[in-house]
Amino acid sequence: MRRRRFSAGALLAAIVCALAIASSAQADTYWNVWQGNLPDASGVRHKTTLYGGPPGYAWNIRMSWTYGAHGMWFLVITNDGTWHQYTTASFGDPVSSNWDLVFAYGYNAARGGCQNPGTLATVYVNCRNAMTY
Amino acid sequence: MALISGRPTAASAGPLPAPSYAPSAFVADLAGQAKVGQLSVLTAAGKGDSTVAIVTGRNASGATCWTVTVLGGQAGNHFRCGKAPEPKGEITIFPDISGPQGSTLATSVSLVGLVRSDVASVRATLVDGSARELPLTNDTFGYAATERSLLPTAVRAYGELGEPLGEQTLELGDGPPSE
Repeated sequence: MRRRRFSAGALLAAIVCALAIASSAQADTYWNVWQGNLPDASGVRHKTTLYGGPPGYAWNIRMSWTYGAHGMWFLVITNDGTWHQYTTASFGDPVSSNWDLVFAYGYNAARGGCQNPGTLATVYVNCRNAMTY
Repeated sequence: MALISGRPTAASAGPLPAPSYAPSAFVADLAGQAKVGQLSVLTAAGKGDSTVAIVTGRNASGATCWTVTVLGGQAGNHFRCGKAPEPKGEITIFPDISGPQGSTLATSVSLVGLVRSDVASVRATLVDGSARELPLTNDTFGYAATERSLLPTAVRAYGELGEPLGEQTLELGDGPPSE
């Protein structure tokens, strides 16, 4: 009986460990666009990442930035190279955090990311993507 | 993949009347996640991937919900409920600014907008320096252009006496040059 309890405990520990690893891995893939100042040290105002999502999943770009600083842009580049910019104000709040741009299943955008527009002040940005649909 | 049906068929630039488009399948899906029904497109402008729209609906409590969709109805934000679409201040615009690969200059702008109820008229200032009146329909307006000279650089709201009430400007030369 004692041995069985130990096995159950070990199993539970293994599950917790596996969940922790999975959670960590997911977090790693979640934060894969840009964390840091925009413009960066080179003056670059935009950061994007390749869309790598499998068919059947939606793609989210989530962005948060220094609260109260100014609005930001989502940046989308479609497969033919055309770029599209959307102000975060378009999604309800010009100076806030955790704004999502959610794409349709398998939409053929090549890249998505975030941009500090124009000549506005430098802000600290968390820009990441996720397959959370 | 056309997900906003009945897109505008106007010329390459101009104000657009309030349309009666059906929300896209993707938008209906977003609405379904938020348990929002009775969807309708309040206003929309642009063509293809440049189409931008304001979509409204109601949740189970009867509260008004809305979102802005872009990329021809293939992307957007989550629905927010509790308040009808309204501007922040006198005027708010929801633009899609786009350009070709390798150029930082925008070649297309589609926008829809909301104004406060005391706004009597809205005018866009274009790249060529001219002004374009944008008709208001239920405190909304729209504009789309694909010729550089006709892109808007600012949209201004005016009161009954023609007094300026508010302004939103657009940055048209800040695209990603190296993508």
